[in-house]
Amino acid sequence: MVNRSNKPSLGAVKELNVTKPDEYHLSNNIPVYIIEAGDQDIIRVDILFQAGSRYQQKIFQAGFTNSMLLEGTKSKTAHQIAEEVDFYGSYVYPGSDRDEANIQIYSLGKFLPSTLAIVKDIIQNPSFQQKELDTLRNRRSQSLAIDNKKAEYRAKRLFFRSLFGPTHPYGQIGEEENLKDISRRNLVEFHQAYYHPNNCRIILSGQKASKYLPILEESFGTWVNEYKQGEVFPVGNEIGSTEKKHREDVPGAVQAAIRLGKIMPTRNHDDFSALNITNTILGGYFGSRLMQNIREDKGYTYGIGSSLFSFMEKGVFMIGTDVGLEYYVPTLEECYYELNRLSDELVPDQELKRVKQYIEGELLRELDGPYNQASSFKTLLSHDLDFSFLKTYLDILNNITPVEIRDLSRKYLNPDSFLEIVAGVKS
Amino acid sequence: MDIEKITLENGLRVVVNKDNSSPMVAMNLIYDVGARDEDPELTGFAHLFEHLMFGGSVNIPSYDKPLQEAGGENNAFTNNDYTNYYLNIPAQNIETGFWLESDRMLALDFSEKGLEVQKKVVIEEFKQRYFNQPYGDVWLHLRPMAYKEHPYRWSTIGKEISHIEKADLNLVKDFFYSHYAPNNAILSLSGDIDPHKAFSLAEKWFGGIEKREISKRSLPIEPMQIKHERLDLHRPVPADSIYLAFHIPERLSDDFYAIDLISDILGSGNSSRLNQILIKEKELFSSADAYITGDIDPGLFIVTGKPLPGVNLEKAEEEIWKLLDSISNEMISDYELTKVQNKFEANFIYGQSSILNKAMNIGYFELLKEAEMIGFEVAKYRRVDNNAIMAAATSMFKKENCSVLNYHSEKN
Repeated sequence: MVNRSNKPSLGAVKELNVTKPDEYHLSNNIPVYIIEAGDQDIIRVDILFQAGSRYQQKIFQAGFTNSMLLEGTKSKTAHQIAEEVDFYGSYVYPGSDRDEANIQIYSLGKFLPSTLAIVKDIIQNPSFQQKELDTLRNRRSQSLAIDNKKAEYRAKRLFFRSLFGPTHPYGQIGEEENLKDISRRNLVEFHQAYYHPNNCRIILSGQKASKYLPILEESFGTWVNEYKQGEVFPVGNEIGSTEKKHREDVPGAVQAAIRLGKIMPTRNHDDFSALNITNTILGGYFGSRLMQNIREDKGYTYGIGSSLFSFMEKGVFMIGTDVGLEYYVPTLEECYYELNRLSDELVPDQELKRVKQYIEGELLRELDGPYNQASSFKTLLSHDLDFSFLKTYLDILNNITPVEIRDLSRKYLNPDSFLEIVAGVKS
Repeated sequence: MDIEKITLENGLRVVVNKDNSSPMVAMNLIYDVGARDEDPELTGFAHLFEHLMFGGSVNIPSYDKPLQEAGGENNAFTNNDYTNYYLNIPAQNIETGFWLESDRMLALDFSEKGLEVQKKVVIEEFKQRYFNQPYGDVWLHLRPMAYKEHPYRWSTIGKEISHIEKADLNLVKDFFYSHYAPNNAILSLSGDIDPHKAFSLAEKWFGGIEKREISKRSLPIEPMQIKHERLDLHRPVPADSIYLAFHIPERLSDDFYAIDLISDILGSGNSSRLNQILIKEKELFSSADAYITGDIDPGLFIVTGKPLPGVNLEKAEEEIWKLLDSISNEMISDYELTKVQNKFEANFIYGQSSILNKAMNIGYFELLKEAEMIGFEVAKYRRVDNNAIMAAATSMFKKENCSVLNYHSEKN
């Protein structure tokens, strides 16, 4: 009869085994980072540009330029492009955020040359058809109107505008009137300024990925762009709201969306990794202080968490949750209680050990297979870092003490320094 | 795919896919109980119960803590057909997974406090998903329109919040002992584990759990829909939205593959007909989609869209029917058929790169019939020809097989 009170012993921790991607340069100097792993014949390609919304002259300019790449080139219509990509079973996803824009490709190895030929065309020769722009505008208008009805969207919008200031590159959030203002010419100009080989990096990942280098060379190595590089400027300091507490009414809301947070150092800062670990303890996993208190003990919400993320030039710490309307006041109290606790009390050894073990498992998951490695590498690359960052992170993780966590919390997590947003309740 | 399986004496089915390309093991446990097995006066129970499974078991006060200590991650979901628990853990610690899962199959640590808290949590989930979102309550109305007898007429979350409030500890215990048992479960694993090691760990930890008498599943059969159904709702949403629900056969029907491909032809990817014709060419919709519910018992084929301002719901519906009729009346080209078959195959291959995806799939197929089915799926999709597409569409896209929900924007 097996003894169920005896926890099975844990095996030896596996060493984090991740090879530094090989770095090649195409003929026009575009760097290509290669991650060779896995045993499925699917190749992933990430084509990255410093073409995020922080560089735009008008709201929606960067995002629309990126989305419209798929909507027609000088030789193919949007429909033709869609048919071809779908026929190969490939995925071509445009995406952009504050700092970067990218095209992400998933393709069976055998169809990669054909898929890349299409991607070459859409990146180098987009036509920005007026009709397609109008369609995109209408669709965006609808989805904005729908988002506006959601308490969680309103909270997010209020949070970023209040944290950075509504005109700051990291605080800008578009509205209906900004949509009307975007013209075809804006997109052509932005594309010329920011989508070119000097502003480009590529990540190539999958089984025997390096054998596709010649195809990449053919698609992107001969790309020459004569236009002047668009300005790549620092974001400048935030002009955050002086008011700490903000409320926004959302008619019909049955839950309140809460966002608490502040500006933090970026990923490149010495304190970032230790702050990340502290964040995990506070609200970064199911066993966290916030989750165990506000969901598992009180039942105020289906989910609560905290996150520490980093744009290129500013970091942000944010606690977020949607709670029953009648619970939002005690939820705020409990959030501040948990923040204070990190500064007042030392994290018990057993809890710290458990968090370390959990994070080690998470790291293994984040690096499991070529596509996860590509995603992790992409995040690091945007800060000019590589996988050695993770080895350093592990060292910090293994050595961090309760005293360091407490001191870090005192330095960074004082509740008085937090912005407090609640959407769904009247001011 | 490399699959090995056994059945323990107590009825537990164990299915293993060895994959050395990962340092982890994904462990998946399906219990053959879902929302369809609920009492119509006490809906939402299977899902509420899933929450309670994390509240501690008879020998292990906390499920999550030992798993976190072992570097593991976990979650679960419930649907109308079954309840699925999964974890992902470094391979050297896989025994911790066996210990945790077997203990909570043996017996839960039923507590009043745990029940009270999870009732509140589930009520917040209900609000978050169904009442605090525009269009959130669609399925609460679409289901009872399409189904009059079968338990698919209510959503997994429950018919209404008051049902969840009714749950008490006796009902919870009853539910556990009549549905959670080794003879009503499938354990599946994928990752860095030798199948024979997995089988011996299964025997060690699960072997001692006795069979239980499971409530016999005897669900009312949904009578064929013979009358077109319609419902109009008015809500403070910014855009009108329309939903058409058609009945389709059960998952194991031979027609399933043609029907799934039709949903791709209509709604999958940028070249899909809904996107190209209704959104791009005719500029009538801002968004549109088509998909099947994927239920084990006869499910639904859904077509939905949000017309642009200036296009009323009547016109929207008319245009959707034109599109559906074109598949029923005009043979699709070899090109278009091959396209959607290629997409399926590429997705399938991509899915093989995730051990969690594989563990879930082999468990699911074992529940349906047998895990080995997964190796034949691509071929089944490839065998569908244009005639089968036309026949399936003709049979499905009929007014008398259809329920339409018109969701009107109430602009105040």
